[in-house]
Amino acid sequence: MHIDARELDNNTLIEGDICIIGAGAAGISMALDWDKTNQKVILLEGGGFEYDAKLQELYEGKNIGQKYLPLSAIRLHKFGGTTGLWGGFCSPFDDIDFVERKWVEHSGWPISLKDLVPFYNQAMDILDLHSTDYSLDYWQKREPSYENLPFNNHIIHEKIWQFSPPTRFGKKYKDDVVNSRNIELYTYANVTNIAAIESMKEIDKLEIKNHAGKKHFVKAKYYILACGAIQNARILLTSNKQNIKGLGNENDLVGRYFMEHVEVKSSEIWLNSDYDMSLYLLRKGTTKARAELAISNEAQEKYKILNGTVSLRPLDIARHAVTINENWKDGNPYLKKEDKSLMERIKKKYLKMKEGRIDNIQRAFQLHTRIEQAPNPNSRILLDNKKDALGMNLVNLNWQLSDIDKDSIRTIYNIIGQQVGVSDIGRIKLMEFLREKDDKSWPEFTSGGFHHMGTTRMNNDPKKGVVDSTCKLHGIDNLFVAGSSCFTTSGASNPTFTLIALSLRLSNYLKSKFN
Amino acid sequence: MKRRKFIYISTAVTISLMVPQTGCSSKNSLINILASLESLSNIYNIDLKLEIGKKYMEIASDESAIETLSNVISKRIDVSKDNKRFDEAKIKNKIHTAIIEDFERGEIITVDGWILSLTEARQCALLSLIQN
Repeated sequence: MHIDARELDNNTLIEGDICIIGAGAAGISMALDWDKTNQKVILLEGGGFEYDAKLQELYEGKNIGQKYLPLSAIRLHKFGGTTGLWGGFCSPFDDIDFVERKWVEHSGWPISLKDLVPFYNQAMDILDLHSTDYSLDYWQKREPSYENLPFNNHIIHEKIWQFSPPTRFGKKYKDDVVNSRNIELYTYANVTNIAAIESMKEIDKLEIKNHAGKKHFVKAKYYILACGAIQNARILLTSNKQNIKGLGNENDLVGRYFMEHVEVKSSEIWLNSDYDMSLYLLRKGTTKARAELAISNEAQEKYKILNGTVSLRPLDIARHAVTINENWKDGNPYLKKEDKSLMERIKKKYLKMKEGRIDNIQRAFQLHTRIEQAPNPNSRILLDNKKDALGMNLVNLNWQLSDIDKDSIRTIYNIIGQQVGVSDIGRIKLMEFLREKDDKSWPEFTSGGFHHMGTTRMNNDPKKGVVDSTCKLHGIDNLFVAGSSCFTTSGASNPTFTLIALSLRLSNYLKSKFN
Repeated sequence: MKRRKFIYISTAVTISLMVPQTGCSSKNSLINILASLESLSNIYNIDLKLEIGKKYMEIASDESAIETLSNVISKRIDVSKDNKRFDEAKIKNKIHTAIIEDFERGEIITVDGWILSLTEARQCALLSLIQN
C-alpha cells in the first residue's frame, strides 16, 4: 500500500510492527523480505517517486575536509534512493576485511565474511546478478577469452566483479512494495526526530514532516534506520531534545569514522606484446563480469597495506575521460557532463583489440585504484547550525584521509611494477603523485566512489562502536541501523552488495524476534 | 696465380669476411650490445630511452661514464670486456635474464615514474652517453 503523507490529516499516528526509515537499497530489500509475513511493515521515504529539487535541497551540506563531491549531488532523495545513480558494480567483501589487522588501527568487525554468505546469495537475486561464484576459475570456464596476465597469484590475483544491469530499485520494486498487503509505504515522510522513552532505553515514536507543513508520528515495536551513512548519522545527532549528544552517542562515535573508497587514477601499464585483455575491460551493458588486480592477504600483511584493487582502462581512452570530480561539480545529481563519444571510442577500441594492435599505446592501460581508507575517527559528519526547510540541522562532511591510505596505494603499484617485470610482460609508469615517498599530498582528481560508510560503526564494545553485531544501537533496545553506516572497515569492494547482505541479515535477526 | 694458391686465398678471405657475423666483435661493439634495450623495445621509442638514461644519471651521478656503466653491466651479466670474442645473441640473452632477476630480487629503481630493473636503467644511461 502507498500513502502520500502530505495528504494525511495533520498529527496522524501511524502504527506497525517494524518501521523502516528510508526506501533505498537497504530499506526496500528489508521491506520486501517481510512481504507476505504476518507483520505490518511501515516503510518511510522522505521523497516521492520522482526526482524533486526541493527535496534534494534537504541533503545539502558543506565539505570542510578533503575535497569531495557536493553532498546533495551524491545521494538521491526519492523512492529507490541512490540506486538511481548506482553503477552496478558488485563484489563481496574479502575475508581479510573483517579481521582485526594489527597494521590497521580500528579494524576488526564482530562478524566474519561467513556470517554474510547466505545473505549475499539472497542479495544476488535482488540485484539481478548471474552467479554466486566469484572465482576466476568459474568465469574463465564460462568465457574462454578471459585470459589472465601471468602474475604470481600468491602476490597478485584477480578479484571478480559482476555487474547488475544496474537495478534501479525505484523502478523495479515500486509495484512489489505498493501492491504488498503488509507493507505500508509512506512517501514525503521525512524523519525529523526520534523520541525515546524517559529512560532512553527504548524508542517511543518518530516524528515525520514534509514540505506541505504536515507533521505525523510513527510507533512500532522495532525501528530501523536505513537512510545511508550520512543521513543515518544526521538523524541520530539531531534527535537531541532529550540528550544533547543525540541518540546512541554516549561515547561520541555517531558520525565519526566516515569512510569512502579512495578512487584515483594512479599509473599506466605498458605491455610488451599483445594480450587479450577482455577479462579486465568493461563494456557497459555487455560485460557480465570483469577482473581487477588485487593484492594477496599475505602481501597486505607483509607490506602492511590496506585492501584495494586496480582496474584497467585503455590508455588512449582514459586520457580523454572526464574525472568524477569534473563530472559532478554542482549540487544537481543529474547535471553531469556526458562524454557520449567516450562509449563509442571504447566500443571501437574493443573491436580493434580483437583485430590486432598497431601502436604501442594500444598495448597501454591506465591503472585506476579503488582502495579502502583506514578507519579515521576524525573523518566525520558534523551538524551545522543552519537548518533545512523542515527544521533539521544540515550536516557538514569533514572527510579525512590518513598516511597509510596513500602509502598503501604507492606500495600496491611498487608491488605491481615489480611483478610486471618478473612476469616480463611490460612496465609500469607511476603518476607523479606516487613517485616521492615523503609526498603526503593528494592530487586534485582524488575522489570517492559515492560510497558512504562507517558513521554508525559496528563493534560489540559501546566505547568502540555505535551498533553491536546485530546492528542494534548500543543502549537502545528497539532501534537498529541497516546499511553501510554499520561498516567497521570499508573493504576493497563497492558497498551496495554488502550493505544489502548485511541488511538482510538484520532482517533475518528481527524475524527471529517475532518467531 | 696458381689455382691452388687462388683457392687458399679466396677461402681465407671468405672466412675473414664471415667471422664477424658469427660473433667476433670489438670492444665498442660490446658496449653497443650492452646498451641495446631489447626488453623495452616494444614499449619505448629511442627518445624515451634517452630521456630515462639522462634522468637515471641525475639520480646516480657517479655512474655517468661509458666506462663505468659498461663495467657495471658487464659484471652484472658476467661477461668480461677483455674477451675479444663474444656472442651477441648470448649477451642479449644474459641481459634479459639479469633484468628479470633484478625484478625478482627487488633491484629496481623508479626513473621518471617508470619502475625499471637497475640493469635496464643503466642501459638507458649507457645508450644516452653513446648517442652523445
